[in-house]
Amino acid sequence: MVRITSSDSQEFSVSQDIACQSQLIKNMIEDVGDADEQPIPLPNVAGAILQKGGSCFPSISNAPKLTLFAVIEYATMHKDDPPSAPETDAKPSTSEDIEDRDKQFLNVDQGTLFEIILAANYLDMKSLLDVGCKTVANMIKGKTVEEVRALFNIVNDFTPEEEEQIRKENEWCEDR
Amino acid sequence: MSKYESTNVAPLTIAQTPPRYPKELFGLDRRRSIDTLPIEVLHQILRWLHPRKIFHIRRVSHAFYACTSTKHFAASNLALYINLRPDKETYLRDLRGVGNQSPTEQQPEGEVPCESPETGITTIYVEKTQNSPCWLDEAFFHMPDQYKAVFAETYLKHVENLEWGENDTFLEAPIPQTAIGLLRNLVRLNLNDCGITGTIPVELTTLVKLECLSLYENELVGPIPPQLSLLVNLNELYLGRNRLSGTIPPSLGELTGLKMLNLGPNELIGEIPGELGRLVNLKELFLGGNQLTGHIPVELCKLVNILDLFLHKNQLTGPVPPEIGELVNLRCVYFEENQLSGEIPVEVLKLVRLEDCDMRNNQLTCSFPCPSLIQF
Repeated sequence: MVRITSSDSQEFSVSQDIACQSQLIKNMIEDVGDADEQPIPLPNVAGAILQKGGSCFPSISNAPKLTLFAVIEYATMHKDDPPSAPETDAKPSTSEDIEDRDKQFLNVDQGTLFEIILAANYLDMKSLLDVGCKTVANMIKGKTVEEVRALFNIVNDFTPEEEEQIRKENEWCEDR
Repeated sequence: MSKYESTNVAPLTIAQTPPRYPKELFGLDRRRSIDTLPIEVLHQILRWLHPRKIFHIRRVSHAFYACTSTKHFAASNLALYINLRPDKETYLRDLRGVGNQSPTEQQPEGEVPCESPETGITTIYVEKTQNSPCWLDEAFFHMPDQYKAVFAETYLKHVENLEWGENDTFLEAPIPQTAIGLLRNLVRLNLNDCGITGTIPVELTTLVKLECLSLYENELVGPIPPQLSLLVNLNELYLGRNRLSGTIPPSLGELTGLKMLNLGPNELIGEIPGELGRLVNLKELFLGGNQLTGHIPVELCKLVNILDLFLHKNQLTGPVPPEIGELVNLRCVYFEENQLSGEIPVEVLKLVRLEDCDMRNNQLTCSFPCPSLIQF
């Protein structure tokens, strides 16, 4: 078992094969040797609290699953996956290639989704990072610039002149 | 079995409104939004979009623009959409996905690469049907510079022959400066009649393996770069039917391997440099349809292998040099529509292989019985 602590000092104990889906944790364990001694601090990952239908706060069971807990859940779900082939050898993946169980796992609100992506990035969990990023990419697909801004509450920080300039650079693809 | 494994998997329902709970309690910023993500994470998200889509959404915000404007991003984005392995069919089709078309709706457009297993694709011939956009056009001519460069570096590095078909191709774009300079193995570059605009990029002159450079019938403007003389292996240079201006660089006389030099029609001015007389392998010299002035340099009469000499439709003055009689292989001579004057030299009678000789619309006279094929 590996002990890890979140940024809000919650401690988790997970089996090594699950924890080591995080390349970061795997490297740490390899560096320090025996993992049982000290908990591994993950200062960039918020504590994991809620789980759908979980035991911590059953009264708000539909609330978003949160970061580390969610990440552990994902890692547990994928612990028996075969190691993924290097990207250069594989047929290029597309953003449509998402397993149904991952789709369901990532069916959360935007804020949570971004937290999970950030955690996956920090923990160096490529498969979770990819699947999270594909999910967001799919949200962008088929939307206009204005719709993308609205979807993510993005303020257009270009001046009209700057925007016109980019529009001009894009002329070759805007009308097709 | 982990103690965190879900024991009670209820069907997940999407919260329509964000659940109300104190975020401090959970140490989570509920307002996390996409444009506050670190640029490397935004990169990981956006790279999954089709390159064409990328250019649309660059306009979303500065963060989006900055993220998608690096060579690094271009490389990881293109890597998902172009795959040279395992078969070239993939390579041909993948970037051609346009808008929301599904891959099955797209038929190959007739690009026929000849692949040599050792070096990858070495010949790309782009022939388009109708006016459908072609991914190679996009990747090489239209995408932002960093994409063109990455594409060229990654996928065209081994290409020896690059040819865009003449039919229905209208690129309306300049030759990509940085990208073209990366095609170090190019031997033949044929961009005839493609609607190419802009100037001849000096980067072209780094492609020292080039044997044929053909930019005939486009919309090129500006000067002929004197540095073209660096292309020492060149034996065919076609720059005619553009709007090139300035003078003919005398340095072109250093390209002694040239068999074909075509610089007209354009808007070239000045005199014909005598240095062109060093091009002893030249078979055809086409300077017609410019605004060249001065005399016909006598040095041209050292082009002993020349078959066709086209100097028509300029503003050349002075006589036809008698030394023209040395060019015994001459087949076609077009000098018409200049302001040449004086006597047609009797030495033209030595040109026994002459098939066509037009010297009309000058102020030339002839004092000997002139063969009928010499028109003046």
